Amino acid sequence: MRGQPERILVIIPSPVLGGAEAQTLQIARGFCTMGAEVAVAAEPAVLSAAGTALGGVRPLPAPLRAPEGGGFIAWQRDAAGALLRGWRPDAALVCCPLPTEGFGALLALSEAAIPALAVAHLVRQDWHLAEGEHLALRQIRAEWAAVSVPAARRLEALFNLPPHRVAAIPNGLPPAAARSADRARFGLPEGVPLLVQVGRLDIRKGAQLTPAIAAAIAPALMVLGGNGPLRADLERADGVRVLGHVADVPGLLACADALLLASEHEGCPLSVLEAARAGCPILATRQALEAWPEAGNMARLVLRDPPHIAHVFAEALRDSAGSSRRVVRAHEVSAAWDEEAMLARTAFLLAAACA
Amino acid sequence: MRLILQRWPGTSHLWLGAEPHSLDLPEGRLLGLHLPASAASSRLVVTTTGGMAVLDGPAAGWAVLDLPGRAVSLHAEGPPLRLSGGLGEGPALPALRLWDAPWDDGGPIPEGHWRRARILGNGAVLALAGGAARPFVRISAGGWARISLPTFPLLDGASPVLVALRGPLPLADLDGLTLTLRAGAACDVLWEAVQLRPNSLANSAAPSRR
Repeated sequence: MRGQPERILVIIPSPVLGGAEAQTLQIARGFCTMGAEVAVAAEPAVLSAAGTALGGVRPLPAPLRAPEGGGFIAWQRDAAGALLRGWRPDAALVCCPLPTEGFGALLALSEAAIPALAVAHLVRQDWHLAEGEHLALRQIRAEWAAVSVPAARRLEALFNLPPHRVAAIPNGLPPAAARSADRARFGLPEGVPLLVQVGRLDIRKGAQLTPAIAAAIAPALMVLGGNGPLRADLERADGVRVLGHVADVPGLLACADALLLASEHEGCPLSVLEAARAGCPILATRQALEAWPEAGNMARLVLRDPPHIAHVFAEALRDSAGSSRRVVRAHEVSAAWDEEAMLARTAFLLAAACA
Repeated sequence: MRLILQRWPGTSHLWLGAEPHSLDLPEGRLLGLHLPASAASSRLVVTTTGGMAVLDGPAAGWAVLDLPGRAVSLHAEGPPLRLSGGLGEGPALPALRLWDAPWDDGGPIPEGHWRRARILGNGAVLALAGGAARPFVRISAGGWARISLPTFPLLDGASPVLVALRGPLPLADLDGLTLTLRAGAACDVLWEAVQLRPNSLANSAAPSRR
């Protein structure tokens, strides 16, 4: 058996700081608390955006993203290889927002014989591997995990791994005090229902549907927490309030009449967990809730269709007993798997990768 | 559970014999000391204000002891053993980790017992950074594995709390503190705890997780 990991490198090869990256930083901070020496390698812009979320973790700025048109895997492998020559860990945790996004880093770790655990966040059903990615995958020596059981099964199919070879590490929230509803803090009016959406303002999250949803639910308001390519268009729409990045998402959800998640696909979205804990009713597509087998008992399911979303939102406001039942179940589900459970599972999988 | 104090192991060594080596440490409940090599014939003893904490035959790496009180001194019984000195601090200040609370997820079995598990099959005792150590086995389809913990008095009716890190849970049979696992399909399994009364909250922190 090899030694237990005490010096851990966490690699985040993303261009921006989103949910997958935030969850990875949560684990990195947890490893620190457990007594490990932890460093996080990421693009300087990602480390800068992380700010205080780094906690006691050592930041290692690295150019992990290739310039446009460059060979992505080779570039990242060289960048990660240079990093490992300066700071050699006992083991590495690699965040893979998309299944192949950390292939270069995983190749460098395999070449340096450093045990690695790769965690895939979004495993789309239509994802496929290019020829170069197939070649790289054959050289990668790493253990794999995904943030939900369905994503784990899809990753096995995509990578041609034996059944049940990919572990599942669902996201979990740290303990936090309940927030009171204070709409004034967010500049939101009293006396009108609010349908809140939190996340990147792009097509994958369904942000393009917002103006039509706002028109259908008026006089209720659509409130968007987040930034993204559609922000400028959405700021001009009637019945829509764009708040930009919201640091206190639980506080915002405490003011909401419902959370909307109209995504094409999701891994294990933190906004659902936060809404569940805040006691906020959830409206979401079945794909966005694939991490939870009993999605229908904890949320109202919607289609990516503004009239249908408006109809379900009206039903959620009218049928308070049905909403309360789902809120209670969602709260139980979110409480059953917390940050401590997520950390313990990740720690043991990382130690198993070294065994 | 919070890490209160940490000294990383350096290259210097402290030979620990029968003579007590005093410790000037804050109040803590779990102490990790680092050994550069195993000391199978020795006994590591920590004297505290509430009694003694003892570990027989500590292995190389971090040896972790539950503290019944504030640690005062340490000494070895049997042949002297080597402790790693703190990084940059020399042998007088041994490398250590001190936590404010004992690990409490393993039910009634003390942490030291989990660390001394013997595994027949493909596996290891896993921990991260000196944290809670638990036996882990990787079993192929149709295979079996056996894990034995040192003798410890338990009430009858104890059942193992197992977590499948990968694959389905295997069949489990606990006889005393020897666990035999038989797998129909390939799996990675962690033995997390024992439960004295199945389906009760008696010694399980979060039964709904399992």
